[in-house]
Amino acid sequence: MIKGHITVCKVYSDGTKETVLDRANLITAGLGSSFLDIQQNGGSPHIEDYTPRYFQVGTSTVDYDSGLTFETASSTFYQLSSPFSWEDYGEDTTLDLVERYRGFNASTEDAGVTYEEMYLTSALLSAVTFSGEDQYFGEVTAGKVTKYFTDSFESQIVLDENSGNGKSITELGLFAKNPKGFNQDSPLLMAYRSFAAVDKTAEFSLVVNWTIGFLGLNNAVDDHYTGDFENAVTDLHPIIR
Amino acid sequence: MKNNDILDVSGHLEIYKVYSDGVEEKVFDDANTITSGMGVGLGLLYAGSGAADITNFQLRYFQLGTEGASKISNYGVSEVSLVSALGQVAGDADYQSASDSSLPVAAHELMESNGTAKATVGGTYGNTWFFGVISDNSIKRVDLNSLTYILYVDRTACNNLETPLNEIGLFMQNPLGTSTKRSQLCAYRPFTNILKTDDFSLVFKWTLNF
Repeated sequence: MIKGHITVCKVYSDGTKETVLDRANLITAGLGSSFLDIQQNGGSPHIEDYTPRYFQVGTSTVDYDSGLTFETASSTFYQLSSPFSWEDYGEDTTLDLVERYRGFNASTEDAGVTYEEMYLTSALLSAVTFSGEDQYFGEVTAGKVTKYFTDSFESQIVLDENSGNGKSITELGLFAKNPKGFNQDSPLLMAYRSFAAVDKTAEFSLVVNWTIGFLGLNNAVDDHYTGDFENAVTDLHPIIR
Repeated sequence: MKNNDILDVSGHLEIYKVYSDGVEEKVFDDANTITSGMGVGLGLLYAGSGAADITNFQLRYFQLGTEGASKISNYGVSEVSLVSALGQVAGDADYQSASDSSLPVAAHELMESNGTAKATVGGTYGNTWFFGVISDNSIKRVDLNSLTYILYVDRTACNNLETPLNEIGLFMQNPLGTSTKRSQLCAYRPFTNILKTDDFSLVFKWTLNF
């Protein structure tokens, strides 16, 4: 079982920290399908294309049923409900914002005449194609993805004091860089969380910590966050490369 | 809420005897266990901290074994190896029991839970384990989030064993990217005894759902 955990904290300029969210998050269908693409030599040949590289912030919620299983297609969606536009992040944001071709699977019900993005639905493989649309993303800062347990990884996103002010933030999405291996990055949603609105102001930064892991070696895999991104990967896994 | 929002990776194994006259007999049909080794591979992949070559994250090996009966009621996600994998008695001849066997076999290391190489039993083969090779055309995409591995053990393979086959495992190639290939167990299933003879081939249809 793959599960995720997310904590969202307000961090004020005097160092005060207030946790506003600390709970599980949804691992979406994109993570699983990209892994199966690898098995068939169908995805990107580059490891870094599968790592979390982009995020989006939004102001609405995807109405999935967190109590359902994969077979009900509850995790089959590839977008936030209402992601920020470029302007929503704010003129003075220090985030690295980029326009990218958000990837998604689309299905047809009329033998390929028209396709629609799959959204909480399932479809026969023969009726599915990969597509996308341009959207704006924040970049996960280099060095903000690491490992803790052998079977989990974590990443961190910071929405600084100059970003997203005046917005009621209710959803976050974490995207893999480019699992299809296109010429330009085509981010694919891998984890999602909606939550009670946080009214963003210039008084605080919003620090988001994601952990995604496999429930196996350590049952507490979703409940640990180190935040210690200064650790080199080689310190955690000295036998790697 | 902590137990909701889980992507439930699961698997299902079917085993068929296929006789030379084309008759198929299903002898096993049940769910299997995805082991923690799968999580190790996924963690290394998505953190970008494992092997540099993407093919090392592919599940391309399998092992058959003969002591699965001891695990039939108590196996779980923490398994890192078969109880008694073929190859430890006669090397690749455990799989290729006839000179014209078409079952491809590879020999390399097996990963322990701490990432080190696991030793074989008996000392004859040291850290070298034997694996059946899964070819590209043995992998079929069932739907967006499901794959089926079709493992074919031909009529000439695995016939010189004194005990029946009763366990099988799927292995990821080499997620740590070690210079000597080191595979780790990602899925495991003990099954009912099958004493292999040259009267039939065995076909394992193993479906993984993500």
